[in-house]
Amino acid sequence: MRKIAALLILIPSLLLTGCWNAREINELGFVLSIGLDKTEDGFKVTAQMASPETFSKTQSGSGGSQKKPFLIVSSTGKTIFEAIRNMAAISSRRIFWAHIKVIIISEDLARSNTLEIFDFFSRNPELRLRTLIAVTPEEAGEIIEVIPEMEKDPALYLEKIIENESLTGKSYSVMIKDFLEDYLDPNVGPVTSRIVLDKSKEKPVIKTSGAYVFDGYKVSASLNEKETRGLLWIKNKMKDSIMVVYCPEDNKPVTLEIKSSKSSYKSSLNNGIPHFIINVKADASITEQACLTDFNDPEKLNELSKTLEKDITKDIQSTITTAKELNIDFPGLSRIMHRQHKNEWHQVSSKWENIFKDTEVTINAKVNIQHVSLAKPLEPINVQ
Amino acid sequence: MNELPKQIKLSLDLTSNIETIKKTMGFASDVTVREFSISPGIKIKAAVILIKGLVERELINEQVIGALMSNDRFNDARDNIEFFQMLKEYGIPSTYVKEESDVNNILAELIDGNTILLMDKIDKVLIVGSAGWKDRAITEPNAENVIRGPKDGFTENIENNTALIRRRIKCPDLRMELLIKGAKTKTKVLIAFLEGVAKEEVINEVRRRLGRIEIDSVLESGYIEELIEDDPLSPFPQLEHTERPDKVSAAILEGRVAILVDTTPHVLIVPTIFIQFIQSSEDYYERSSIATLTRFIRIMAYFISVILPAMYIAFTSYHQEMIPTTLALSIAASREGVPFPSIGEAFLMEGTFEILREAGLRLPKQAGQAVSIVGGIVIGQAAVQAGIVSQAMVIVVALTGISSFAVPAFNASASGRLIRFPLMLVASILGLPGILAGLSIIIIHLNSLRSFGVSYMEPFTSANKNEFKDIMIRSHWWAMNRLPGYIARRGFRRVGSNMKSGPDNDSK
Amino acid sequence: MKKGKVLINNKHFKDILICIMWPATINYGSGILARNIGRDMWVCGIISVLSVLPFIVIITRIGQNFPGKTIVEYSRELLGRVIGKALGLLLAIYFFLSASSSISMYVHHLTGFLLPQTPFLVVTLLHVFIICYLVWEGPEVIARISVFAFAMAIIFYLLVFAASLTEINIDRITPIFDTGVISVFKASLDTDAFIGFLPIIIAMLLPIVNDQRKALGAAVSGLFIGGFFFILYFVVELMVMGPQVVAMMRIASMDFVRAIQITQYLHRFESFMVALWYWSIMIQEGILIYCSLESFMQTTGIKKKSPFIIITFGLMLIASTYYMGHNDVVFLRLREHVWKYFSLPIDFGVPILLFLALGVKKIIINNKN
Repeated sequence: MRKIAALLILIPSLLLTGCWNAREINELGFVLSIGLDKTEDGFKVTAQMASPETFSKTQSGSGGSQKKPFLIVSSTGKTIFEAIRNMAAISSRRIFWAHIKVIIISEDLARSNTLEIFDFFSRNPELRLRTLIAVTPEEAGEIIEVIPEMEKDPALYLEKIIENESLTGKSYSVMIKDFLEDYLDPNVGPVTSRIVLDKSKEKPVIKTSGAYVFDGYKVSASLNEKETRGLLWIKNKMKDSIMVVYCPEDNKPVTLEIKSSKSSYKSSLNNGIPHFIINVKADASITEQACLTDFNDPEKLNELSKTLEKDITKDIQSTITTAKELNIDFPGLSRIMHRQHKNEWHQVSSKWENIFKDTEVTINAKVNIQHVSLAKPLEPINVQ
Repeated sequence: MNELPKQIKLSLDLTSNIETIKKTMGFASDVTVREFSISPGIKIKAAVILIKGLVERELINEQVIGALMSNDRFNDARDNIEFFQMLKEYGIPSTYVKEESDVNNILAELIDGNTILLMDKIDKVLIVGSAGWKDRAITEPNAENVIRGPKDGFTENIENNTALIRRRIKCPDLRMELLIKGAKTKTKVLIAFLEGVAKEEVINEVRRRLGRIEIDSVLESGYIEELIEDDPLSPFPQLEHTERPDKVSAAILEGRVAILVDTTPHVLIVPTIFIQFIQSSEDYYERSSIATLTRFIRIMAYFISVILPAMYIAFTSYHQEMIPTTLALSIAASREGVPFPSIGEAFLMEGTFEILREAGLRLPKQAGQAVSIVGGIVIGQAAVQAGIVSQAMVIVVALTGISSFAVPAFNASASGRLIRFPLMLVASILGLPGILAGLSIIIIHLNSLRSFGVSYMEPFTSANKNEFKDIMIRSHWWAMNRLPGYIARRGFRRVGSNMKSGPDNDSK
Repeated sequence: MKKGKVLINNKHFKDILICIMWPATINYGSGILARNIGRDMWVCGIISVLSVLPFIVIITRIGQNFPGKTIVEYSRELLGRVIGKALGLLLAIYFFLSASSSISMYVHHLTGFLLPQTPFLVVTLLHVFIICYLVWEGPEVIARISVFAFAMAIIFYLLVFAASLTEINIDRITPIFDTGVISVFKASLDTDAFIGFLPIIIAMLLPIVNDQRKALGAAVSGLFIGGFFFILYFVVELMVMGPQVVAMMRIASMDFVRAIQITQYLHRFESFMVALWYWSIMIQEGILIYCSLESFMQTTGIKKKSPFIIITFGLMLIASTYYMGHNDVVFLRLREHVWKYFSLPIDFGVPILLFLALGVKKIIINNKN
């Protein structure tokens, strides 16, 4: 009896269902990167979709056809979502966001209100919050359309070069998740990566250089490479990066690789003026030297360390100076104060914009050079 | 089936008795009658009736006919009755001699292979045991072969089978209880258990369930299995069956009850739990680390064979974000030009594979293997090239099929096959939540299943950590020192303490 | 085969309690708490777990005075027939609504993230069918499945940890007690709205526990382990995403999973996560419906469980879930602002009421002797 009852409930419930959400995998257009530009009355969205033939290992169909390994679709609309839906008029495949890797915003668009963009990207459940964000002074559509030599797919190329921030030490990478955290904090200014198009060669090449700083909801300024490096030092992202310093004796360059770095902070509030002490401790190793100084000698090594310490301090100082000039707390100093002295913080937090430009920052850098791979510099050995 | 047998009486006349017996057997052509006279001096007429093919003829020739024809020990009998008595007591050198007067019992003994000895002027007969027929030799069971372990298997003769068990359990506590089941087949069914170790409730329940069986024929232990199962509608088997005597002996020693059925080599073992279908007797003969590893592999193989096609359908139709980007694009590329949705593809390929599997079983040995493998590869490749299915689907189906062969017990992998199709159906409707719903129904069902009072998922959900020593891992023999409490009486100690050998334990 | 009283042993009891505690809190709870209190929500969790503890002790002590009887049965003795029956009916309705809300949360999960176009009713129908099957099979089966659900929960946490290790930044949750101690204590009442029904569920389940003397220990360890799970989840969520981002989300756990990845090749494993905590929420709903059914049957005196009662319950459950949940704006407001006003009096008031009644009764008996 109860089995009949069970069947009576089960069968209609199965018949009620259809396949509402079923999408065959070959009907989808996998969007891997997207560029946003400003037009007179709205947005222009350029999406780069992966072409499945690029990734399949078997020869399907005609061989020898040089098809482009990716597809570009672009459309316009008053809002971003409308622009995307307008793409359905020209794209036969359903736009599928889940594998998106990079979002590129043009500087014009970022200088006007960006609230809509980030609202769309955090509301849509298909997107990952680990997508990288970059701003570019050119048109975003141009960047997306560049065909890279090295990878089959431009989005992979973009993703990897942005993520190489720590290898060059001159650019910055940020995911939506961390970006949103700074975006929602009224006292901190978020930072994104910066991508430029190097037009000096016959085929334009994409490269990363520097960073952009947001103020509130708009882009306010860009940072050059030195200031970006200072920012990386503050945020503790300089591991595996390099610094070039000059030999104390003959001013030839020496390259040092940073094996590990750690920064710690102390904050205090004196008479309404915030003071910060940033201590940077780094371990480095010599990877290349153009001078013939023998750095196995502890004294010379010491001098070299001191030179590096001075350079680090100069980098960070330039970043802080820029921050104070722009009056945007993008290094996140307010958070440090909040963490360490929450009672005082609650008193001054409403006035932070006014007191930030008077902040005093002291930087102590301590470098320890541990590896000099060769026992002697590259010069003939006197064997006797 | 339940008619009372008619009471037919024997008369005092030999010829009419022979006629009665032959008539009741319908004048069957294999009933042989040999009339002779006993001991030349007395001239008493006698006859033996036997069924050719069921008796051991040498035995009858020597022990009955020969013994009676050529001796004169009975010469001083006064009349037939005394003669009969002397015959019964010391006339026939056989281990089984019985006196009988009811024709129905006589016929039952005749069909059993015994010989009927009739005498003139007596209305009773003597039944002489003489059963012996051509039996299959003891060979390795081909469905359950192992690399290490004894290679004898049960045969169709129940007395051989009990002998094989008795050879391993040489303990007087091993009880064997006989029942006759099947109105027309009168099959011997034997319950074997170890007194004092097996639980009383289980034994009584087995007796009760077997006792209430009323059926006209029992040709195989499978008939009995379906009649005593707790839930015949469930896809999961609740009794285990095997052809290996070492497995049955191990089960009896653990406290389980074995049911042997005549004319079939498959012996039933109750009670059963789910994890038994992942265990094989080889686990206990090889070293414990390799046994643990192969158990894990088997469990994974079982799960793969149940849910892999469903997960493929769910992921490629509903949750494409879960697949890594490059793999998703590869699958998309391989599905270009395929006319069916992935559900249709999956059902098509799975159906084809099932047909291939059935076909492979019916073909003779050598051809069967080749056809299954070649058929699978060729059909798969050809289908891909023709654009009917995609390559990814062929891989999924092949992996599923191979995994289902990795499970040791056939009836468990059959349960996997049954569950796979509904899961694919639900996955195609709702994606991963559909699979979850289907799996919940199966798991709820599994947890509510009981086999002779023991819960089906028993050791996973018991509180005693002692029970876990033999489930997913096989602990070393010196560590499994108590019998599992859900089967046997509690806490029966079976390995002496401190059995692990090592420099301290060994003799100096 | 075994007829007679159904019993579950203590390990199962503990596992059931663990599975009841954590799934709904990680679902809507983190968002609600983050909007309320920000980065101290894990402290709220700790305070709320500790605040439920004395009620568990009280209710176990009361229950042990009436062995073999559930709260509905002995409240009739303690408080008189009329109030006892009213209490039983109230508890039945309360459990029913809690189960409805739980099912709504699960279905929102699915329709919000995994299956956006599927209608609410279809998923609800299928899910309610499974719950009815579960309740029909009885508490013993629920207890056995909870062992499996607990194992799945542990795997879930290990995966979450492994995935978020690269993103954890402990600076995001300091400083502690940012907004002041009093507001943290007030916000912990919000968490109590999610886990406060634990003492009365224990009161309903106590008669069928095997070993009564150790039942209190099992209950307390269940509370602590379950509480540990969701507090740990709050901590990890805060450390990865920061309080502002969590406060923006409706169902924070799914967005949290959107933000972490294990390797590049397992980069979106939300469905996987749902597959792992689904079992715990199934157990939670199963136990709530079972308690509701039991208190209903004990209040009205029906002894036998016939399929019609289950079917009726199922249909009512579908209706109430649809009504409560299909407009998720209304549901969020209900859960965030309205729920605690009627759940907290029941959760905390009923044990205290019974405790006082027991005390009064004992004094009267002592005076008589």
